[in-house]
Amino acid sequence: MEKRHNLILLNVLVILSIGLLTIFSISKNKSFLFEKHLTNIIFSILFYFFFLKLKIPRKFFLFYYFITIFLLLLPLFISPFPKRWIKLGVISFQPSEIAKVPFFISLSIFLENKLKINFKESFFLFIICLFPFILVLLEPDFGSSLFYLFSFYLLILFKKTELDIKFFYTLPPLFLISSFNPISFFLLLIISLIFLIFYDIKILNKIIIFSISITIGLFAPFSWNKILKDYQKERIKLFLNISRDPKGSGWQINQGLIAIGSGGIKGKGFLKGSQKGLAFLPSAHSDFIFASFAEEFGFLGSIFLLFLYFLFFNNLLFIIKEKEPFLETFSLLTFFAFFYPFVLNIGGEIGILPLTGIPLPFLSYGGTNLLTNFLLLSLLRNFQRSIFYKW
Amino acid sequence: MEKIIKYILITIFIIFILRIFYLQVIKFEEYKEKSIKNIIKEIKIPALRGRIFDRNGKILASSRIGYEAIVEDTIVRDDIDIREIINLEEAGKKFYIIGRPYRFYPYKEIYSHIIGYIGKVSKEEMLDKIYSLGDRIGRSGIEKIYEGILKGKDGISFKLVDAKGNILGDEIRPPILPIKGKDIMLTLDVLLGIYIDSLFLPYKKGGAIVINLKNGEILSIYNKPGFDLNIFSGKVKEKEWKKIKNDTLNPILNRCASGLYSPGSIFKIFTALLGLELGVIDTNEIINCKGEYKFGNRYFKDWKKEGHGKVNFKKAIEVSCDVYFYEVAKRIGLKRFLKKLKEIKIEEKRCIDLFEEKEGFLPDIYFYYKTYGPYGFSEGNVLNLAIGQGEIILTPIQIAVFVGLIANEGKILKPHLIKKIENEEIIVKDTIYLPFDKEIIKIVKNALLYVCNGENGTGRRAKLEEWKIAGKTGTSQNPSGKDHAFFAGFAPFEDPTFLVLVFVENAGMGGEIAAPIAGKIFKYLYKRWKKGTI
Repeated sequence: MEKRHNLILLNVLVILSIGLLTIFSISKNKSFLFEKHLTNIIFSILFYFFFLKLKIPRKFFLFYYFITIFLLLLPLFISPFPKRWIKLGVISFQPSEIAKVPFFISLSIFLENKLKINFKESFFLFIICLFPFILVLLEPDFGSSLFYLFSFYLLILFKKTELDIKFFYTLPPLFLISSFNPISFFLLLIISLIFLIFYDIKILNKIIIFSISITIGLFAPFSWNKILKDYQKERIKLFLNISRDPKGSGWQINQGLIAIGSGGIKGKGFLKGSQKGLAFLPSAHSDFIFASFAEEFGFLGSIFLLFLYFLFFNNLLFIIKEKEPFLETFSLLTFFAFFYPFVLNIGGEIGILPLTGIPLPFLSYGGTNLLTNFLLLSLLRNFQRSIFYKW
Repeated sequence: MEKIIKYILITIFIIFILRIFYLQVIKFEEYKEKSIKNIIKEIKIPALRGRIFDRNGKILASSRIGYEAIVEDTIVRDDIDIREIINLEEAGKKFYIIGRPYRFYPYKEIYSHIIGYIGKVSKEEMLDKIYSLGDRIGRSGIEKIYEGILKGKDGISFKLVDAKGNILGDEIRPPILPIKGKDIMLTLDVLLGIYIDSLFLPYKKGGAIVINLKNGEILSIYNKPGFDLNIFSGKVKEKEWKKIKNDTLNPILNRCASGLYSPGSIFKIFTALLGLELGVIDTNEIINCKGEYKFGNRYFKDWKKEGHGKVNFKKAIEVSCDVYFYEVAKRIGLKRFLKKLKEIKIEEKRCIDLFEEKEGFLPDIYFYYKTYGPYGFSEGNVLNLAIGQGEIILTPIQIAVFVGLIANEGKILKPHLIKKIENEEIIVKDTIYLPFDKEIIKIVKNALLYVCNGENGTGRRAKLEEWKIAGKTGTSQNPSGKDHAFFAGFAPFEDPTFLVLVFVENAGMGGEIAAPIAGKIFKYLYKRWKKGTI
């Protein structure tokens, strides 16, 4: 077990050094970026080992949950708009990142003694996840807030849960999203009908789930078109921050694609990327770090980097295999905490998902993100040890 | 559970790898091209505009170097010099400089209407991508007509830029060099223009045309007032532009080509020709002029109150006797007069490359019907037409060509302005004809000699000892004050080479005002001709 964690740590350190190299290349013009990042890494590693030795009590659900809520409430009251940062003297951090740690612990405690999630518990779980989602949404940070909502779905779908509960929570939002496109709506209608008919669920539940889904699916486009006024739609769009593209018409995404594509097989060479070097790539050190890397190291470099990430995720999966309930929940959430930004970030950069501005774990510049990631890894190791040593 | 997660993991990684393979391997060339385009800024190197010379190689239009300061594709300062660039740099502004050739006209307003001015291109003109912001384009005269030849082809230099368009380095690709526009040599003589300008010093408005009858080359189309072409070539100063625009003398007007005037007595030439052609007059017949002519119950006045006494054909032209031509006109009759008028076509555009040349107007019988109704006009109208008043209006260049047709006995080469383009000689073979018998034209031509050389000739002030000059004066009545003075003549009489037309607006009689100027021009031409420099 310890070997597995050492492998993960080694893996992370290799990715980190690639990130350092890339940030060094970017910070040719922007000073301090490299030095700051290096400092962040050292501090994060120190925290990693510090938390490893710490005894973390596995009870007091409310205590951890209140810490989570407190952390997320804080910026709404004391920070200037957009309220994503808290400044304490020289240190500034993102509460929506760091709050993941107590949030995960609280969820793990909540589900520890539940072998199978029943409807009542699932509803509590939903409420538990809904508050952080709303608080982050209010910052506003749509991309990060979704993470908290998705955590709920992750648990509902992958923990032991009745099928009808799974359907109850997933179908209505799926209908809501697909309802704006008739083709996807009908496709979903047919697929969900097939699932509902063939799965072993009570007839009454089937009817309830299906009618709720259909009602939402039909009502959403109607209310969007008829009830909401144009300025209200604009406000919603603005609030959800759908377009993170100041120059418009996909300029950022396009520049990212140019950076990646122009790298070719071998890449332009270290320090030779013209896209990131001449500031065509916006926030090359965070949102577009993969593009900056791919430009200079090409397809071979990209494959190597993806391979490292694959190893990393694969190693995490081994830990999820542990059937200890607390650890199972925590490792699942931790896995998701890395996988969600990984998919959104790279998917956004290579142009198959919308841009969200979420940093790429261990590669992007960003202190809070790095610290949170290291804390999660450290706690994962900590909790797994405690299974065996039974503190 | 972890198996499902593993499948998801593998699926997503495969999608990512395929997509990255597509971007970096399959679409590599396209994105490479785009990334290069990103960092290269194409900056135009404006081509040097072709020069314009006069017939002796004197520069009428060439280029001087000026600079433009550009910030993010907009020109913030136009036509600045080194000192202003240094000022901008000291102010810490972010900009780059490109050199641009600006037009320079050493002789300022001389022949300004013919050479033409240039101006900045409009948005519409930039649509075809040949022109871009800040380019200049010919707006009048030769600059406009020969824009395509003078312009040349712009070059491109390739500079390294960052995302904000700041230029970081020098050329990263060899530049495409501009191709200079072709030079054009005009038939105009700038020294002649300067001399004519000195003769016009006492007058405000007018013009002078000199044409070489041997080859149709226009030596001078001088207009007064002119305007300094340099005002439009670089940074246009609002104040100077307004001054020109609001000038009541209308300096932009090319009077020789688009000013419309009654030809006055010069048109008696036509009446004489037609009278002879129809045989209604005999050159020896004597008509007694008492200063007025009775037609029906109306009296038509002669310009000389006391009358000219007994005049024959030659004398009538010499002294420009109105009464004599009233009689001729009466014998011709309105219908026959108008019929021939329609045939001679002297109101058409006569020149090649003359910018904004206007057509004149000669009335026909339908015009009278339309304007006055079937009973609104009478035979009496022909009397006015016969002495070049009434509805006949022509441009000075048309009047000059008409007199040139007499001098050359019925045909001349089309007057033109271009002598050479680059090194290619331009030869014009188009000919203009006057539909009258050559012998008849000769009779009138001979009579014109007395206008300048006769004792009482109206054009005697144009007389020269060294050269036989023939011509005709004209005094054009007009509603805007004093008469316009006209004189059109040619020399030497034996072998007509130079045609000169002088007109001065609102100055008085042709013989008193225009003829002396023409005389001086002839004298000047004679001197140059003797030396062989014209």
